[in-house]
Amino acid sequence: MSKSIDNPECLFCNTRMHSFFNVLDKSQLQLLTQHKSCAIFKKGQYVFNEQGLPHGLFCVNNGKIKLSTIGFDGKEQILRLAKSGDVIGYRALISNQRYHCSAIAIEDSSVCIIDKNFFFQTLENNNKLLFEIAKKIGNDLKIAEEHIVSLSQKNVRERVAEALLFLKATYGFAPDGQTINITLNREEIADYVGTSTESTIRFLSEFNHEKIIEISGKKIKIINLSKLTKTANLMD
Amino acid sequence: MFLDSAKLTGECIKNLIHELYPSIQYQFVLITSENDLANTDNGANKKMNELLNGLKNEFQSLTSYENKLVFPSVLKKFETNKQSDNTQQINIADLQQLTIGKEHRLMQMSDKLSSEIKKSKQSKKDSSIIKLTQIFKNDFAVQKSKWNQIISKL
Repeated sequence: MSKSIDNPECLFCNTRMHSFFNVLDKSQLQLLTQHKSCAIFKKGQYVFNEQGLPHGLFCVNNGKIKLSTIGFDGKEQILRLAKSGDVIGYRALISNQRYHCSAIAIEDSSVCIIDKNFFFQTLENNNKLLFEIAKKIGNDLKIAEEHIVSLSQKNVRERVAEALLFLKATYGFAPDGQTINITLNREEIADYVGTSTESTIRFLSEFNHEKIIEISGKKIKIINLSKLTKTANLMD
Repeated sequence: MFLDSAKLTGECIKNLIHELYPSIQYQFVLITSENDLANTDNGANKKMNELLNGLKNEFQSLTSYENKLVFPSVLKKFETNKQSDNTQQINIADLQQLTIGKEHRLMQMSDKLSSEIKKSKQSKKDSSIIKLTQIFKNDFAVQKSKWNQIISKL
């Protein structure tokens, strides 16, 4: 169980300046103080649970909170860390959905919980706050999209490495013991990988730069086989 | 003995290409046509959708390598053995190691999908996905094990 503590005044809260509540005026901040409670979450305690229904908005006053979910492999996947001044749980609250992740204190943390109804009423009457939240959500979306791109790119990188290993196993090496014994153009390699020629060229260049392979025209020399195997991520 | 082995290998490849893989492909099509998991905001559905996409991509990747490289290489091995010609240095052990890695990944994805279904409540959708995971567990795993035993002896 979290431990309730006296409500710190939002008006004098330094961390508020880093959150979207920095646009509220004095009277609005006094109202905010009246409509929130503050609690201490010991290290390891849950602030909210994945699939739980949101009843309020959480503002981290002090400490650190991790937002995590359980991945496909059953392992914990940390989505992000929230620190002093960060507001968490707003996406589920605003969209009226269950939490898609859990929030767990990774050190003793004090968190203010703002009443759901009050928050919505304030939003209805305060365009500045609404705009700040829209900016925050837009920024979060950008970060999430960048993350998706980086994940899919990582997957293509693995697949390019995998393709080279298949080609090496099938055609073997030329007498130099390093060059794959077949000449394929980039389109043909991309066809094996199942991706665009542009992506294939990009990752082949990366491997070349990292000295995993050496490219000479259509010839590909495998310089570091163990690194290529590791990159393919197939031998787990 | 050599002819028996070649015949067994050919039959196994035929079975994979003409029986097992089309049944898996059909199941993927069935799942896609029944519903679109990507259109829902439900967290469990999103996970299932991602797993299904991952499984489909990995399956297509495996079959592509097998059709283009592995199966022709294995069959060529019999040809070159017959002709005592070793011009192409096919490394069957390496190819097997690579495909086993992909098969292992597919089975892991299928198992995870299976555990996600247990959390889900969409019965109609789930029945097709359950069927898919059962094909992987009961047919794919068994036939692949048989295939790997055959090519281990080459």
